[in-house]
Amino acid sequence: MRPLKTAFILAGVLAILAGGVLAYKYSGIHWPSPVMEYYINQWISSTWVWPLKAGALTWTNAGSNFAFVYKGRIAKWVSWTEDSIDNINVIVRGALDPVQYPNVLALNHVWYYTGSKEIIDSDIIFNSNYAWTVQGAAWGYDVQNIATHELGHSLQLDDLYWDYQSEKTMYGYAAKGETKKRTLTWDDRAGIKFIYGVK
Amino acid sequence: MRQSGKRVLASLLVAAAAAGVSFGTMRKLELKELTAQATHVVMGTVLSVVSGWTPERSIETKVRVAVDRYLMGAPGLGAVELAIPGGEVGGLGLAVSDMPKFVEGTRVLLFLAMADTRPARVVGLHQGKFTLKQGRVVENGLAENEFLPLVQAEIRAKQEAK
Repeated sequence: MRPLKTAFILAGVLAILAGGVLAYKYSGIHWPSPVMEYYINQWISSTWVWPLKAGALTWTNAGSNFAFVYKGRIAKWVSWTEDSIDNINVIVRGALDPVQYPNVLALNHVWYYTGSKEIIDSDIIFNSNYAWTVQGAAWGYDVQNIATHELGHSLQLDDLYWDYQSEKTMYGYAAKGETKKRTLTWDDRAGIKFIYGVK
Repeated sequence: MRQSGKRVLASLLVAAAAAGVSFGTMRKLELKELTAQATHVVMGTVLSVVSGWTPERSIETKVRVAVDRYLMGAPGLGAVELAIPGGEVGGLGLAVSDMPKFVEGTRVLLFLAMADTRPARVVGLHQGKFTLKQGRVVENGLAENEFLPLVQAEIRAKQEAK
């Protein structure tokens, strides 16, 4: 295991040093243990459950020690206040204020301890002001595509914005009909393995 | 060696994160859309970045920018104040997707939407903030003297369309 991990880290360093290419971005914040239990809000359509779980499973199967664990449906909503610091991580669908959050398809807000950099709570909201599809249809934004990306933020991988990074799951922009974020690139997997270790 | 390599990678990644990171998923806005949605396009220097609790018990960061050049919009304000969700207070931090990150003393070009109510907001969240450093634009790698004409062309196009 250790030689493999070392090779992995060195490959990442070389990838970065060669031409200034950034393979992934890590915020420096992390879960205290390599597990995140999550719930799906009970008002989300049942057709969304499988795509959301598939997004989580993609990261669980990425070869790191980290695992998402689905705990079921829940009535909890998300708020922006400290009331939401409850260790109950939930995915909801709701309308984001179009003035405050224009052009935002989904977002993830994370509470953490500044000293230890350990995460306390991570909630995801899908913006119901946009059209969503579970089949990658051209008229909407694909649920699994965006879920995989947002759950990457729950791991604390950050957005990438350069055009050359557009094939990666953690690329921060998405288009209607897009499904490429459903599957991880080598760099996305490198990110989760760096933070939480290689299985 | 193993630890050394890990530290190098960690340093690079943390440095990248500190350079200005946000997270979430957005619809990408081109310069034309940023300009269309903005009431003001300004250049200036970040004076202060202060996080605090809101009355609703969330965390927000107030950013004050000294404006020295108006590319679009009525001039007159010496400084603009922005309120950005998220930040760190005491022992707690709140990281919110897609928010622009500011560092005191840096020069920025901002696409702003200013209504009667203050503070102003950055159009397209992080997409409407460009950091100017040593003659280059950090977010897109362009030279400042390449980027400014592009912005000015979009502003002219918007004004001519009116």
